[in-house]
Amino acid sequence: MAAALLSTRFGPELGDFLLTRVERSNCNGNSPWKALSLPKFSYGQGCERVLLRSQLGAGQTLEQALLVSSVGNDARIWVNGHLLRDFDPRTGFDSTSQPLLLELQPGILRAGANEILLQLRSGLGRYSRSALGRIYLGPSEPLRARYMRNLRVGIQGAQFAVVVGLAILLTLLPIAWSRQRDSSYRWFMLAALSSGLYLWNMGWPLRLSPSMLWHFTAHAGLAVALWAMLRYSAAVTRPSPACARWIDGLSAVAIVALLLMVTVDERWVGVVGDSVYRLGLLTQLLFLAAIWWRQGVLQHPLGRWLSAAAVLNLVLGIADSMRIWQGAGSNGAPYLVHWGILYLLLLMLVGQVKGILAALAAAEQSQQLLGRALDQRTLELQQEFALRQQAEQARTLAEERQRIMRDMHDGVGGQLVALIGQAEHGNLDGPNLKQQLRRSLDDLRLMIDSLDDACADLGVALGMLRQRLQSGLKNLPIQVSWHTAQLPDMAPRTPDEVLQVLRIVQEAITNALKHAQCRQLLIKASWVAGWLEISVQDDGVGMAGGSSGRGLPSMRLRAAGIGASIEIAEHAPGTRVLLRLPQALAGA
Amino acid sequence: MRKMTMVDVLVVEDEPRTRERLASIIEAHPGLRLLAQAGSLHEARKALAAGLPDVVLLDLGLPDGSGLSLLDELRTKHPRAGTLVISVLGDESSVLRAIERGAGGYLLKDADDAGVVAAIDQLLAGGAPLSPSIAVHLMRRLQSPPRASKAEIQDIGLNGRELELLKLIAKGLSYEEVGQLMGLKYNTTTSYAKELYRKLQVHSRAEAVFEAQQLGLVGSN
Repeated sequence: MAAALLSTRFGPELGDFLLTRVERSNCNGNSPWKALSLPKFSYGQGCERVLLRSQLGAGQTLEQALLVSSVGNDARIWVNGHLLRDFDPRTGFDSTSQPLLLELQPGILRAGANEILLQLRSGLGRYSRSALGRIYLGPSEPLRARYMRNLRVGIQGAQFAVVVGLAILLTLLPIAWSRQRDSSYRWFMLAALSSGLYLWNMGWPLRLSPSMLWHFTAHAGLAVALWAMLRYSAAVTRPSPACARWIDGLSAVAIVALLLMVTVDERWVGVVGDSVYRLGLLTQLLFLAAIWWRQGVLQHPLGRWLSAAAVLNLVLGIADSMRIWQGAGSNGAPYLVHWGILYLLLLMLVGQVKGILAALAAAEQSQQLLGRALDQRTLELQQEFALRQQAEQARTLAEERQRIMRDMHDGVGGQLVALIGQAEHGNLDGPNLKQQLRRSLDDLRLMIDSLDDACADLGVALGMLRQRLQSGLKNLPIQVSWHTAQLPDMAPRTPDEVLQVLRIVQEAITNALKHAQCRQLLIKASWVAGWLEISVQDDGVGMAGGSSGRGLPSMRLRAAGIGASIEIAEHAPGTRVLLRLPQALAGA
Repeated sequence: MRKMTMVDVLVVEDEPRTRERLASIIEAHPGLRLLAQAGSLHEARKALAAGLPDVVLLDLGLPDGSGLSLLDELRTKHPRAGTLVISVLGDESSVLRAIERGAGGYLLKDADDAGVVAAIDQLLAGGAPLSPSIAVHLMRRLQSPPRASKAEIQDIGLNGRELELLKLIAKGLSYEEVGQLMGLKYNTTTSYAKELYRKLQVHSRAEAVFEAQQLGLVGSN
């Protein structure tokens, strides 16, 4: 980009040999023309006049054209008193450089001395420059070709370059913003933003309408950009703290110099201001080179390119400065150091992109590592979980087996042992034997019922008990009423709990039938506010009449084992056994 | 007995004492006739080849195989024969499996003489026994639709009356009490139970078809 622009600015020279004398003055008043170097950027207000005198040779044709390679503003042009071009009333102020081509009709030029007068319109304030490029007087055809090329490549190319540059900056800024924890990204961001400001100022037609404030801001942007670039270089190459302080200090000096140049009146600084500006740049660049030398930046992947940029800027800065001191010898080429800075900026972009790509690759790699570690850990956890689950199942199974064995031993086993004892003593008659065996069988049924998961709901378990007892109770002269069907669905209990509840209720019923001499038996179950109450109530002779044992201690023991309580109350007439246990509802 | 004609009963039970006890109960009853008694699947098949029983009392754990396979044969070859599974102390899970395969009811191994005759009578009358536990299992099974196509499960779900009946049975109420509470005749109540048996069979068959489809054993149409 920069190379293309440079080549258009330094194309083959055509006809400037014709220009023999240049005078320049402010257009205020009628002061005589003042000899000035051409083309000097000027900071004057209003307009400027440039007077050129040329001498046509005797053999030269009179049909020629006048080309002004670039006018930083609009221009009014007279040749030998003829007004050939006036200010364009439509455009107002436009400081973008553009070429002007004037066809000189026969009769306008004359043999011998000719006078060309340019009146340049400069900015609204003293900070707007009115640049004047080279002026050519010569044959029409080559001048027209050059004019077209200036127009196409110079203006459009510059616009394109500026737009692309701004686009790159705008794309990379968010990335830098998202990574600003890294100090080099912060400096890059600052440099990019302020460079963008300056580029915008150079770019037509994107620039704002000029004002003192805008002009100042743009230049301040350039200064800050330079400073941030140095800080960026420092952050990337990680100099010692002392080095970093020197960078800051010298950068500050350069910035102040630059700002002085653009704020202080031309009459005070003028060419000196420009020189201070260059000196500031030079200081920075020299210092940059010194840092690189000291810090071994050349070993850094980007170091060689940054060093090359520094050297380039150094050379360009020296060239610019030389041309400024030469004054009249220079003929309108723009400053070179800007392009060197643009090159440095592009290098920074490359560095950032490389850094981002490296960071992305590192992130991807660490993500893969993390993923593998996670898979590994998941597998371990799954294996551990499976092992624990197996152990838990085995433990539960063993516990349950033990419980069932204990229940069988205590229940059916105990009853059979008692039966054998009775048989040995010969006091086991037929009905007694049948009753005892029936009891064993009943207990066995209770155990089996309690293992059925449908009976985990105590309401269903009571239903099973009821159905089992029903046929036996039918033939007794006792009216048995069950009020257990209104129970809600209840939360499941363990088989052991179910068995204990069933045994207690069955024991209470058996006791009543055996000892109470009752005519009515009422079995009732209700659920109230978190408690299940099961009562077995008879209208018999009560506790006094019965045997003291009645299996009450074992019932209490069973109840205590499952966190329930038993109340046995005289309930004239008869007895009431009340079992209370905490019980949640299903789904609660 | 409801039937005026004699009811032919086949007893399939490998344990000799139970088998003989059941045989003697049947022989002692004027309305029942013992067609044959078998101690194995093999003997049972021979007996079935010789004559068609009205009722089969079937033990599931036979020395030469499961009684469930005989249930399948009976369902296809002798669909009119009713089967009562002889259950050890109300072993609900095997009873349910037998119902799924077409058993008409179950008989507790320790049932007294009257209990055996009552169970056969209930079977012949078109009823079916429902213990609270079986009621709960039926509720659970039939309330969750089988994993099969919708057309097959149209009439499997529980209706409100059936659910009510099952809930009451689950709490230990007898058919009589349930009938009173729901305003049904005894016969209607028992036929409800029979219908629930049928639904369980359809349900399990739909499940089986689905499983087979999943395995690619039968076409989806």
